[in-house]
Amino acid sequence: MSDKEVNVPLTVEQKQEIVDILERIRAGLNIPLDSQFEEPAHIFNPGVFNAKK
Amino acid sequence: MLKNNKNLTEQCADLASGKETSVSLTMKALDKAEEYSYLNAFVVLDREKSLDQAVASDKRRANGNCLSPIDGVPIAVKDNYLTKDYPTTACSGALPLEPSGQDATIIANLREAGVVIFGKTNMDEWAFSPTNVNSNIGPVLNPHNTNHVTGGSSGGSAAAIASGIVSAGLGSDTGGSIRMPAAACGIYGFKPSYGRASRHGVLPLSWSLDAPGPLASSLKDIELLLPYFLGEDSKDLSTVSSAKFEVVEHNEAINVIHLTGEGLERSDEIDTAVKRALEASSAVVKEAGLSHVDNYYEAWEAIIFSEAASYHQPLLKKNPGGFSSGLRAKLEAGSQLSALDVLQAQRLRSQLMHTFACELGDWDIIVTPTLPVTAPTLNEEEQEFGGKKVHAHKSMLWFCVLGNMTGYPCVTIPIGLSKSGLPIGMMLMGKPNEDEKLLAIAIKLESALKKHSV
Repeated sequence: MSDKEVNVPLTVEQKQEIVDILERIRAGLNIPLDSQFEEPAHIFNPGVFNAKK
Repeated sequence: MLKNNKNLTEQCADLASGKETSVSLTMKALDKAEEYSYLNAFVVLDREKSLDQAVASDKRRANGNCLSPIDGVPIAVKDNYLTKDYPTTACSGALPLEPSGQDATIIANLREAGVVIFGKTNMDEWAFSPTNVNSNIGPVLNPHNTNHVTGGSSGGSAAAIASGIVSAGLGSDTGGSIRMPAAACGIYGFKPSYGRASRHGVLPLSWSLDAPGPLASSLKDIELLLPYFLGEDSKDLSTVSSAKFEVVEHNEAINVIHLTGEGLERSDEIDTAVKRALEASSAVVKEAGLSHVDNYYEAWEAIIFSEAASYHQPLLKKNPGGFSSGLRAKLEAGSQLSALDVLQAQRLRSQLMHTFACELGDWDIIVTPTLPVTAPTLNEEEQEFGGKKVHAHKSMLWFCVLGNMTGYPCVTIPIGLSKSGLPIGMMLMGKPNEDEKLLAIAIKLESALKKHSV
């Protein structure tokens, strides 16, 4: 396969799907965070809160 | 499972007693694969390669050099695990059809144990869909009813097990891709804690959510397989603290939180099945809800879309036509999420983990249905349950994404059939890195269920 970038325009349907996805995600992200919430380490560690408990 | 097929544990016993050889087991699996070829469970299956491995296993056993209890058992592999002797395509048109020349760590572990790598199984394109309808070789059909999906993205492995072609298979799980097909096909699936199982050589979908794991015909099968999944691997730094798997027992009372309430709706039929299963168990059950839980789905989407877009960016620029139209739109959307969007999603993820760890009280396991409603038909776009109409993709992922957002270990067990004959699964979630305890509890709980049903 060539390393050259290939330009294939998005279809109207794909463009609309992208808009729908972004709207849905951004609406969902709009929920309150606990103001007292303490951020954990940025490296994902599922046990971080259990260790602190 | 559909028929009274032997599970992995029974197959191992048959090999040990001489009742079966690896060649006889592999021949049976090849015959069944042909019989059930209409399910479209396999991308590639090579009779000669499978039998060569089986012959070698039988020679080892005859010479007293058996490598492990699972030496000689045929196991199916999802087509996103690198295998040195088979091509790895992730069921995408974007990858060349050539053997990769290397094995994923888990494949290497299984080869060292003498397993017959039986073939590569169908999956959703790049594992980025929950139904196994979106594959470049076509959908996998559910062995219980071929008008219905298997669930994805490890649908090929699930169908191969449920139809009795093999007793166990490999999957990967980013939002439920092991648990959803296992539940929809009436088998068992285990998603390890994030960081317990090596992701090296498993093509990524979303690196902070991905977890490779087994699908099988019983919980004891899962117990046999987990030693080859769990443990430190220098090639995957997320496993630096991963202990080797050790069998444990759980003899104390089981404290269960059954998650219910807004955002955790399910059909009446599924709700009744889970409540009956919990009543039949000896567990102490408390119901609890979670605030804003339905919005965590979009936080999960922000993480998976952005990480997948980042990973696929080079290939997307070189070969956009190699992706299906729908997947390309998802990846383009992921690349347009802002840094603030993704950071907000990560903060919500942390908040969810904090809630699970600190605000639900004492618990040994958290229980939900695996799916809120039985598997949709192949063409069904929307499902209705609990007074809601939900896109079929979202309904499949409804509960399962919680396991990936938190990174907690999860197992799905079959708890019966719906009135229409489709399987119902129950999901048990354990504490992080306590995969062994989760499995021990699942075994104890299932044993109580079986006694009750007798």
